[in-house]
Amino acid sequence: MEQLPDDMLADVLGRLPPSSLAASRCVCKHWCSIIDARCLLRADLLPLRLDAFYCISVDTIDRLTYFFASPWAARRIPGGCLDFLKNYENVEVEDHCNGLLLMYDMVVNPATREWANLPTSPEPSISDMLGVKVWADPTTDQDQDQEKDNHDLLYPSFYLVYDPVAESPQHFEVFLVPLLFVHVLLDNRENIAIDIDDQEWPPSTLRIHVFSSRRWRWEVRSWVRQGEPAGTMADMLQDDCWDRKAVYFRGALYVHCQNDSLMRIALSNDKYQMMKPPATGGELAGKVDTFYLGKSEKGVYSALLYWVGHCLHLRVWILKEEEDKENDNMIHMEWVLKTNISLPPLLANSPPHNYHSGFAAADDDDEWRVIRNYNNKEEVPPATAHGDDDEWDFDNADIVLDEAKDNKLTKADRHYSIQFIGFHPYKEIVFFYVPSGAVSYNLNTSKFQRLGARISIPVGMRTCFPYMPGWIRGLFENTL
Amino acid sequence: MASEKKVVFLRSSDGEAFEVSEEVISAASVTIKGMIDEESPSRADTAATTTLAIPNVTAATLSRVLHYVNKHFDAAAVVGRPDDYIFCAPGDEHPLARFDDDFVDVDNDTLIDLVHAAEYLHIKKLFDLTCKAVADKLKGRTIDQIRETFGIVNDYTVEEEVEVYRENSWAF
Repeated sequence: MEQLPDDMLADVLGRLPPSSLAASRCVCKHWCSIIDARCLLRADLLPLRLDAFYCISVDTIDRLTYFFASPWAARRIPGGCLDFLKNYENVEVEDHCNGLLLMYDMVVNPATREWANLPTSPEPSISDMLGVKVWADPTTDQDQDQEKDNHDLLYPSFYLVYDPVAESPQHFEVFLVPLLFVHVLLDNRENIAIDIDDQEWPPSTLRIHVFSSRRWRWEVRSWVRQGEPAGTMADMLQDDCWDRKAVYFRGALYVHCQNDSLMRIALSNDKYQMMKPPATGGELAGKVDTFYLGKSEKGVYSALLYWVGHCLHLRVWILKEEEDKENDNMIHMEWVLKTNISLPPLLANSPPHNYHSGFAAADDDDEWRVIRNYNNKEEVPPATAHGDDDEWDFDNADIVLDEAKDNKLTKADRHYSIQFIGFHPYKEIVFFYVPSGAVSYNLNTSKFQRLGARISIPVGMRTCFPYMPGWIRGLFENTL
Repeated sequence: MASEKKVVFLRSSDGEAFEVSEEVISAASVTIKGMIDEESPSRADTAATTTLAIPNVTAATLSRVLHYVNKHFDAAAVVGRPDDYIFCAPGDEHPLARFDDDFVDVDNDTLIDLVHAAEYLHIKKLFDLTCKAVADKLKGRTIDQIRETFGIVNDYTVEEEVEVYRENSWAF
């Protein structure tokens, strides 16, 4: 590479994704100077900071968006309330990934105020997916109804894949991964021509629709399963949940499927795998409350909140992967337990409720807050000594979770709700919503930090999620 | 017009001459088209074939470049939309996408020579292809792997290295 003149070297480096440019800056001084002199790497535009929780209010019919954010972060994201969308009153976020939101058939970047409509998504068909005729006895009279049932048997879930750091800041994909619509399946068992006790789920070849921004169209792509299915179609009947999350990490999409199994779809080849859940309620001698899939420092994580009697417990696992070269490069996956705690001490240790009202004083600038209207200057706090460039210091947590204080809790205290609201995208920290506000909990130090008191946030996978704004423009330039 | 296919000869830096259709190479290389245009007035009424000196490119590299140029011209004639292949995703079957993958599946020195040749001859598609191929050799690699692959010596002091690693730690 020393043989390439600077201009040509810049031409080569300019084709690298940001994470490779960052590595290239560390290779030698000359490369670093070329990258810096030509501004090839704009790390300041990348979604690298957890600045806010994006909140979609469910209080009213007209859904509104707001931030639960560090005070100075909200100033940087004036488009957060989506006022630039023509039809923003009815907001529902299907998925989000590295600063992009997927809302019905729209992809939106609130930070750059850019958005684009996707072509209408196809409706998945169970017969196409399995490659066999699923519905028994179709008569011409009922053709139309049949068609409808066909679609209803699959619940379409949309997942956004966007990796502006390690892949390309200019492209994204949307995966349509159907889950079985359990109650429709139960209602129509007699009309189904296949034996659901025998039919593997997901099928050995996964045929699903994928939208690619490169070609700006939906197309069918196939993945062949390596290893076992999650079970049979009949096994899926136990789980009638459709609010499911997916995580994209290093070339693979991980989808939380029925019965808390995990589907790993490799984007670089045509293989997919299923993975068992880390634990079931039976194994834990408890009742599962929430299973949450997320991405954090070392990759894919799962969190399980479960009740043992009146006590809520948390377990967190990391998904460990190893390529099995002797077995067709199948990925050997294992859930490794990271954290196992009971949560009521979190309540006992929480700072007391602090209900003083009114506009936040300047010294409250060290708290996260709910910011509803970023265009209303009165509501956005004024600039302070904190630089806008400073990321919130999540490591500045000093309260150690003290299991001993658990004893002081009254029975009433225990009934306060503790809700899991997400993983920090690149630190081993998780977030909870408790009666006194939101707290972060460091999985390594067991220390926690209060983020904001007397707040109300709409807890839910699609209504309140960690948001890392990204400012790369022109994502939709070639599309309209 | 089509019956009399004009050819030109290209002489490499090490003296080997290669025959190529004038139409093909003019469409591919801005540099050679310029050379041919300059020659044109003097040879308009003669039947003599032209030999152009390409002093910056060796026979080994020039032969590869002409293989690429001929393939892409032929394919363009057949397929009709020669630039579509750029937009094919991995796994898409397209004759030129496969050809291009194989074409740049060469050692580093050969690839760097192709970048130079494409730049000198001003063949934009080939320049894009080869630059991207070099970039692909860097993509996803660790810092040490990049240094090893391209024989680069780390000239940071310990303090400087700590600082530059810290600045870029988000990427590792």
